[in-house]
Amino acid sequence: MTIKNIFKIHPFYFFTAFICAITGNFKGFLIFSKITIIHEIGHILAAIFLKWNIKKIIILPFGALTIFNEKINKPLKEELLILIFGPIFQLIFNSFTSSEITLNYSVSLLLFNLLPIWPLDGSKFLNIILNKLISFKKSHLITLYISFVFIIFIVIKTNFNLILILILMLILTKEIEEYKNHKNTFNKFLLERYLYNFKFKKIKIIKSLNTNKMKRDYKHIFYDGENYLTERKILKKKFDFTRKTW
Amino acid sequence: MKKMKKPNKFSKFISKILVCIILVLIGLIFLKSNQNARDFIYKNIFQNNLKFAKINALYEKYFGSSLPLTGSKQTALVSEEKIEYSKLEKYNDGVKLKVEENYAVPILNSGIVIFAGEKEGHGKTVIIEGADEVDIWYSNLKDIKVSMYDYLKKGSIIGEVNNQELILQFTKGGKPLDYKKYI
Repeated sequence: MTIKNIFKIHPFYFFTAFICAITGNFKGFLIFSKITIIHEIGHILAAIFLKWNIKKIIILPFGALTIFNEKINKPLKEELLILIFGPIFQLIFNSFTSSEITLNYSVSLLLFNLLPIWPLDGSKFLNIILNKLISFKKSHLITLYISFVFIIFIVIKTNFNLILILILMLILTKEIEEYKNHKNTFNKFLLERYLYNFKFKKIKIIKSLNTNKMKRDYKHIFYDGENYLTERKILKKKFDFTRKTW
Repeated sequence: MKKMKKPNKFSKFISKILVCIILVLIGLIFLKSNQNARDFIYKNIFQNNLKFAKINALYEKYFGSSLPLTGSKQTALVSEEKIEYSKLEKYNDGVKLKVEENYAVPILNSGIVIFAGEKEGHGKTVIIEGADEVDIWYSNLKDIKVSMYDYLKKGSIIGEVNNQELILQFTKGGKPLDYKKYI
């Protein structure tokens, strides 16, 4: 993979650049782009440090998206580290700038980014916190529901703004895509556990054979009333089709 | 079947450059031979700016701000006062105002800064273009607190006055306007 394949600039970025150029706001737009890139470099450096596989980096007008080609069952700690390095880089950058406008824009961008709306950093923080507390499946769904609520909230609260609406539409499409893929994501989560041998330290006992209750960062033992079954046995029933073919 | 040989990257690059050179030369020859076209280019491209403030006002009216995440673009200090002066005197195309020592200048109309720096014969100058296409020149400043292409609201302070003398000039499309309408 080459760098050229990884970097993508979304057409909407050029559209916003054009609007800002004719209205004389290109200075602000350049400042926003600079802040965005610094924020994203934070994520990317952390990802390279932890040897995560970067699939794509999409540059959008007021933010950028880094998409990883990684296992869902990677430790939560690593995910949190990658996530937190974006804002940290931005804060370091803030402390070095003397320009009041840049500082102002940087803070507003950071606050927007920390809203719990799906592809933004805020929702990923929320997802990690939920994963610590409840099962993977539930936390994934709750994160998405909360983002839908917040999008509606923003649309109602703000005045009409063409570019903001376009950004929200872009976010909404990503979110609907994620929601439609919910079942696949959950199956991927189970299949990974079946295919690879993850080493988790903590153990959770589930008092039924329900795989929906499985948590990230935990090894599971199932109890069906009589016997204790390992996670692998349960997953084998689900994914091993060799005996079922007749 | 015979395979077509793919042109390599270098020859592609060279041919692109050659096409660019040809286009530039055609353009130059056209301008050299045609006086009207030359005048048009000089007038519209080299002398006039795009009317940012006007387009921005129009855009904001229908679509909202083009930088949606910024709450307020206000950065400079704002004073509610009008410019206070003790003496008014005509000066070239503009007007010279006698003001207090180190007087901080508030702007008369909101708009975009299209020039900030030293202007020959005027000293340090800030030119602000409003949504009504009127350029207001604020000359003979001691220091400038704003930079190019900042949007400023009415009453924002752009700097302090040098030698107690502030020179204002009002122009529209390059032609001077009467100052009495504005002060």
